[in-house]
Amino acid sequence: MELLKRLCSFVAPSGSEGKLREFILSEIKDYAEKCEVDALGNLIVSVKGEKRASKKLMLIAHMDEVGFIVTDIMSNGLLKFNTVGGFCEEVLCGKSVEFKNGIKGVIIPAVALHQTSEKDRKTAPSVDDLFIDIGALDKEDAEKFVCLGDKASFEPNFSENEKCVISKALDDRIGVYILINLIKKGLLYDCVFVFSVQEEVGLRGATTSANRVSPDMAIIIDSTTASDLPEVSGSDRVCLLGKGGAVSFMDRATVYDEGFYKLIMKTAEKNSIPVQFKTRVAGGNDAGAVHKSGNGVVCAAVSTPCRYIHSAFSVAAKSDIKAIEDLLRATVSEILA
Amino acid sequence: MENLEFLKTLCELSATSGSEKAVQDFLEKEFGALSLYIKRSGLGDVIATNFDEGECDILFDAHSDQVGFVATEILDNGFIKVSPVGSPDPRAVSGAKVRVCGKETIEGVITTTPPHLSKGEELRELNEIYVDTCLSDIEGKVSVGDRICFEPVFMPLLNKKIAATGLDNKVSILALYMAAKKLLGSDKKIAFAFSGREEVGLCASGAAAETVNPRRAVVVDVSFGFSGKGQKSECGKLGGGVMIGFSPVLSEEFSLEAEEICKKNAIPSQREIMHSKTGTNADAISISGLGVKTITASIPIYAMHTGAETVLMRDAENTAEFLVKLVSGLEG
Repeated sequence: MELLKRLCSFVAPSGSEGKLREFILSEIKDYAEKCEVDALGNLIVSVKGEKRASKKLMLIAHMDEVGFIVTDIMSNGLLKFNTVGGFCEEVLCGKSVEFKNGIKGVIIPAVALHQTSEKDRKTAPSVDDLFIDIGALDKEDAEKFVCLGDKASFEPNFSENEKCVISKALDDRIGVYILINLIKKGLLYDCVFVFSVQEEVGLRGATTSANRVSPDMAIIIDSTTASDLPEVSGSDRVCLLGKGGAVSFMDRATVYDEGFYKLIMKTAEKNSIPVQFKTRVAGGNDAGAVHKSGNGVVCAAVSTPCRYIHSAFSVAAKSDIKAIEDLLRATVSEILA
Repeated sequence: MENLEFLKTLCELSATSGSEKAVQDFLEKEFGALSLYIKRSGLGDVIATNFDEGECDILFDAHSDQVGFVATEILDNGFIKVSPVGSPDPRAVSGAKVRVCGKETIEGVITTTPPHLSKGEELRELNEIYVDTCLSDIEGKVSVGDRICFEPVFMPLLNKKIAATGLDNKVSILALYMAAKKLLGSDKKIAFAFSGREEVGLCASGAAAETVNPRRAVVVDVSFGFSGKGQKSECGKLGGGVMIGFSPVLSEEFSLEAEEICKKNAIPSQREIMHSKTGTNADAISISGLGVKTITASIPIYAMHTGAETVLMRDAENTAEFLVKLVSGLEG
C-alpha cells in the first residue's frame, strides 16, 4: 500500500494534476511503449501485452480530486473559498487542508458556536459560512502565501488498518493505483491506459483523451459511494465494502453496454473473483463522456466501493482493490482474445 | 519542557470529561518537575502549589477536560453508536476522524450521510451519530461507555498560530505552565488547579478550589474569536491579547485591577463582556466555600469545540505574562 499512500499524498484538485502526473509518469515510463500528455494534461500510455489485441481497449482512471479554490481574502487574513467538484457541505467544517505550495490551513466556521441559532446548529454550514485559516495576520500577510484562484485539497492523511485504507482522495487514486499495477505487472494483450484530468468538474479530460485514443471499448476504473452504514439497508447501500468491485449497469451519466458488463460479471464468476452490482442509479464517471465520443465507445465501469467519498477521510477495503485488479486482468484476457 | 513541545504533547493526550487520567498524570509529572507540591482534590483534579500549608494567595484554574463522545451501543460491522460528552460543535462532526479509547486505541471516522439519502443540509442529532472503526468486528475491543474524541491534530500555521485538537483548554494549561516557570521564586502562595469535568457543567472546579481555599482566583479558559461574521461585541480578537472578563458574577474591582496591571506592563489585553454567568469555572469557583474573588482571563480562539481549533501563541504568552505580573503586584 506504499504506492497508494504516495499517490494520496499529492494535492491535485481538478486542473492542478501536474505534479501527480509527473509522479505517475516516473512510475510507469519504463513499462510503456508510448506516453503522451495532451493539451489538457491527460496522460495517455500505450502498453504492449504479450499478444496483439483484436480491439482497442482503453482503461481510464482520473487523477484529479475534489478540493477548494480561494475566492477572496478577508481583511483579518482569513480566506473565503469555494469548492472544486461536488461536496456534501456537512463534511467541510473542522478539516485540515493543504495548498499546492505546502501552506496548510483549517476550515473554520464563520459564526462562533455561542452565536449560532438552533437552526444553524442543525444545518451544515455552506461555503459562505466557512473560512480557511492559514494563520495569516491580515490580508497583506495572507497575500504573501496565497493568491486568489489558488487551489487546495484536504491535507494528506493516509492511514490503514488490517481491513481498510482511510484517506482523502481515494476517489480516484485507487483507480490510478490499480492502473499503475496493471502496467507494471503486464497484461496478456495490448491496452491503452489513460490517467485523466478534470473528472470532478464534468468529465472534461475524458472527453479529449477518448477523442485522441478512439478506442473500440473502454473500462472506467473509478470509486463510488458505499452506503453500507447503520440504518441503511437493501439497494440504498449502493455497494458494500469487501464484496469486490462495483459494476455499473446504469448511472446518472451513462447506460452501460449490457453485453460488456455481463461479460465482466461472468469473468468474475469464472475466476472466483468477488464482484457486485452497483445497486443504485446514481453518480457518474468518465464513461459519461467516453461512451459518446467519436462514433461511440462500448463502456463498462468497475468502481471501488468507498464510504464517505469526497470527504477528508474516505474508506475503502483493501480486498476490493485487489479484487478489481484481478478482475481487470482477467477481463482483458477474456475480451481481447 | 519547552513550551511548544509541552502543548504538542498535551494535545496528543485525549481527555474527555471524567476520563482525564492521561492528562492528569502528565500534569502531575510536569508540574512536579518544577518542584511544586502536587495535591489531588476529592474528584482527582491535579493541583500544583508552591506551598505546603497555609492560606493560598491566589488560584489559577484551567480545566483539563475536553469535549468528545461516549459509546452507547456496539453495532455489527465495526460501527459504534455514540452520544456527545459536553458540546462538540455539531457543524464539525460529520466525516471527522476520531480516536476510540477502548481496550486498545482504534482510529475511526464519523459516518456522513450519503448524498442520495441526504435531507438537504440537515445535520444529524449528536446522539444519533455513528463511528466507523473500519474493522469487521470490534467485539472485545470496544465497550459501551468507552470514550471517543477527535483524533488529535497539531498543525503549526503561519505566525506561530497553531491548529490543534482540544486547545480548549490545553492552551490555557500551557499559559499556566509558562507562568509557573516564571513564578518559581515567588514568595506568594500560588496554586495551579487543573479541574476536570468542566465541559459537562463545571463539575469539579469548586472542589479543586476548596482543596486550597484561595483568597482570589483567576480562571483561564479560551473564548470565542471574531472571524468576521456574527456579533463582534460578544467575541475577542485573535492577537488582541488576554481577554479580561467583566460580568455580574465576577469581582468588578478585581477585573479593573487586572486591566490596570495589563496597561501598566504594556501587556496587550481586551475586555470580554458577559451579561450574566461566564460559562467558565469562574461561575463555580466564585461561590465555592465562603466565596472567592474571581475573574476570567481568556485566550481567543477560532473554531471552538471542533477537531481543529486555532490560536495565536502570542495570546497565550500575553496571558501568562499577565498572570506573572498579577502575582508580583499582590499585596504582601
